[in-house]
Amino acid sequence: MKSRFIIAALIVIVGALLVGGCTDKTKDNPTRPQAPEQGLPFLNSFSFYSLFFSTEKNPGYMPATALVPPGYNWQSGGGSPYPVLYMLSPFQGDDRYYFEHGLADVANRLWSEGKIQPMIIVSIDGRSPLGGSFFVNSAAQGRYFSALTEDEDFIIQHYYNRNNFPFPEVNIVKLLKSQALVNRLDDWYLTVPDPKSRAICGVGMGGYGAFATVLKTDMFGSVSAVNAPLDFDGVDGTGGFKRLIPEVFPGSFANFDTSSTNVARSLVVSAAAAFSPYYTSFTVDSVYDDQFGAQTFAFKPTDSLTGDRSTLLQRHMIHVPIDSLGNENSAAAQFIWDAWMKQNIANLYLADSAGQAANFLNMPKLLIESKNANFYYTDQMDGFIQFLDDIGDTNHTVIDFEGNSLLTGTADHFLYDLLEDILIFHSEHFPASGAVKNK
Amino acid sequence: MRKAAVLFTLSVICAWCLTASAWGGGLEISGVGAKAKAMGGAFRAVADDWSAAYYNPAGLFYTTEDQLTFDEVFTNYQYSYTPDVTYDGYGVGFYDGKIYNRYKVLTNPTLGGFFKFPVAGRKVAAGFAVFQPFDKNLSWQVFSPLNNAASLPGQQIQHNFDAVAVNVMGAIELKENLLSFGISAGVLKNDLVYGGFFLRPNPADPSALFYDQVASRPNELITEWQNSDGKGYAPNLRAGFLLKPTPRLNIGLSYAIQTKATVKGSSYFYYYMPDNPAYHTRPEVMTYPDSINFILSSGAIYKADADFKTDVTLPAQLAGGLAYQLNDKTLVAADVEYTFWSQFDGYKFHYTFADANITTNGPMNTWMTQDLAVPVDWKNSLKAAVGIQYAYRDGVLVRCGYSADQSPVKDGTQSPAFFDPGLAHSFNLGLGLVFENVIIDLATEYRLYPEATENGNMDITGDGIAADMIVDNMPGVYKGSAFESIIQFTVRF
Repeated sequence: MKSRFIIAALIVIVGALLVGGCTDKTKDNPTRPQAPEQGLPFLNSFSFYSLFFSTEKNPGYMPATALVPPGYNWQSGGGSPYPVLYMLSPFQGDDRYYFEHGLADVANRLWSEGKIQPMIIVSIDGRSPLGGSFFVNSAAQGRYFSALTEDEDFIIQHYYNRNNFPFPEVNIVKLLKSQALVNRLDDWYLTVPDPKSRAICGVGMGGYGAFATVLKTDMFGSVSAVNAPLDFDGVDGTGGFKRLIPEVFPGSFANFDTSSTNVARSLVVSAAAAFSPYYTSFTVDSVYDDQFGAQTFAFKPTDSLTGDRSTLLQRHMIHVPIDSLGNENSAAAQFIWDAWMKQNIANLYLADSAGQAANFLNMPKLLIESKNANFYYTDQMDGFIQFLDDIGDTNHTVIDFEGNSLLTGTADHFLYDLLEDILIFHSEHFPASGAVKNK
Repeated sequence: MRKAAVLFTLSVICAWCLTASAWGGGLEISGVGAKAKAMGGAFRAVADDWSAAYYNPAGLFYTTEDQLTFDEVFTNYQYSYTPDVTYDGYGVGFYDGKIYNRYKVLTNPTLGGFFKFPVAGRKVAAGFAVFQPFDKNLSWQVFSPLNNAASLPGQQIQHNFDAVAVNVMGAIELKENLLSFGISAGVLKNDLVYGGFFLRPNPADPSALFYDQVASRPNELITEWQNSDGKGYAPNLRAGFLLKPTPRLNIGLSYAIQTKATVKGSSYFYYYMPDNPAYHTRPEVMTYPDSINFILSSGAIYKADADFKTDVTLPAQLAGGLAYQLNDKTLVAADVEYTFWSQFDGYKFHYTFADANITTNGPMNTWMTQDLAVPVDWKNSLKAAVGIQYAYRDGVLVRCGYSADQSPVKDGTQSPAFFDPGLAHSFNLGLGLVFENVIIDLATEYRLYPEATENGNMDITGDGIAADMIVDNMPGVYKGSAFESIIQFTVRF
């Protein structure tokens, strides 16, 4: 009888061990997701002439970096063409800016998850010698808008042996054809050369460039911006740049902080060079003669509308919407401010000089605001959204991005997360390619 | 039959020898000894075998024979954790889906014995026991750094804590047939292996140029993984009374003191730097390999070794129980124990690095060599147990029990390393087979934990304990069960 109990007990023990202890569930554990097939970034893949660096004699380059989607047939160039998203860099950002903030990681993840369709993404360097071009044609900084969208011919001069005495200096004058980046992309890459398959976006200054560009050309089908200067005087007409400028020039020009690390000052100076240049036909002899390497110190604000323009110093004068005594309401300051406001997005829309107002009204727009925005950009975004509502625009989407309460930071800090919204938004407004798995 | 029993005994001894290094259990185990375990741990007023060293040494006095016992415990934890970990709303790299702790059947041998002898005209019971009152043995793979392609070592979270008591015990009768007193004292050997990852805020200076490129999402947190392996010793003392107000009723009361050991050993570290190739390949960055920006965007994995020490404080415990002999065949018992878990505060590692120059950047080295902590903020907990022993026939005892055990883990501080998601219900069953000189006791336990959902953000800086490097909770869903079986052999002489 005891042996029966022993056997029964052993069955219970062994059974408990087998059922309870030997069911290995860990084999079903999740693991790190396998890295998706990666898109391929081409760093600095574009180097083409434009009136960059504000010198007609020494045209510069406009660096851009492209990310092509997984499976892009680079060798043969065959297959289905792709839509293109153009990303304009923020102030002081170059073509690596978005990649440094995780663009390739985010795009690859979204591609692998089927949340965006395959597209070519191009990030463009928007820097100027003063910090940022605002992606407009400016006599003081260069022809950034044209470099992006217009083919142009230039007569340029090249100097050789310039500093190599005693050899004689050789001055070569030649005609240079500058091809617009959009056209160059369409020539080099497998793109859909159609406005609906092109989108443009940007953070900060790049956001202004994106919205200004779509009001000057019909080459794009959707537009987005993150914390951008889209309404220079803000919601009530006294914010935005209006509020920033007196902070940059406290009291008078004498207190002008020439530190190159003063980003707000550099921003205002760059905006002045873009929106209210001292000369309307500003030319500089060369980057050598005019010491552009030290340009941030050479450029000085002035409230003089006339003067000797022959000297280097005078040529480097800029106009800011505040006079030398710190008065932002003087006639001179108001004159300059009016020049700025002509470039305000609302006025570009109302002036409609390129005939794009109707197209703009129907264009899908994404506006992302995050807290902690620099330079009172939140006020500018709010003012612009109010303007869109006033004109009856029903095609804009607004995202209020809360950010992170534990870390202080601007939109730059969280671009990794904002990029997802941007890419999905533009993907959804590209014509369906059939390649999207889960929209 | 005897031959079969001998063969089985030998096979268990062989298994014990082969697996003796793999100890296992829970941070406080649910009980020791097959007899007590089968009764749900309601044993403080019974305490009539070697396990009196744990439950109530006073019970030893009323034993009627000398015994030598060993047992083998087989334990399997089947816990699951479904992470929902965010850092202020953002994912940080935890896997999606339900994750089980690393599968393993843990074994845990125990040895004990006692005998009686006359001292100064009075009878004294004495004995010894080697047992494990505290244990934790869990390992998990739950995470991959979001900003580095490398994976953490296999046992990303490993918490193996063994407290082995080597005790001698003695019991005397204070009043004849009414009250006895006993003490179980010795050394508690604490072995600790703690491996875990720490998500530490990026040390880059927010005012520095290119701060965003090295410290913005997803690089705001840097993964540091460390493994520390060491041991330390502490005194161990348990004392108790056993009162027999009537021939059928026993009342037991016991107390175990708080102990504190300094555990020392060696640690090794992996630091997973964020990988930002677009920034890292800038000429102005690559030119300065000693710069913090170079290091923080490199995607490199740095390694280091150190010695460590940490204090481990194990809690005091107060417990009482009743046992009542209903009739010749049936014994019922009930226990209540209160454990002062608020005395346990986790581990605070203090490191001495073999070479503090882990990188070529001084501030980075300072950051890397900071001490780490795995704090807990627990509450005292209560456990209640009931058990029955029934003499089915001569030499055959059937036992069953149930216990309810509160979790000391406060809401909002749950983590896989200290898995204990709530009130655990244990269901126990056992059998005692009494031969002439040998007793074989069998017990099995099924322990069920409730599903617990931990909400909120991962707390890195929230509690102020060793601020800026704390991960003291991991939100998500916790659920689990455990199986334990014991085979125990006792020789009577």
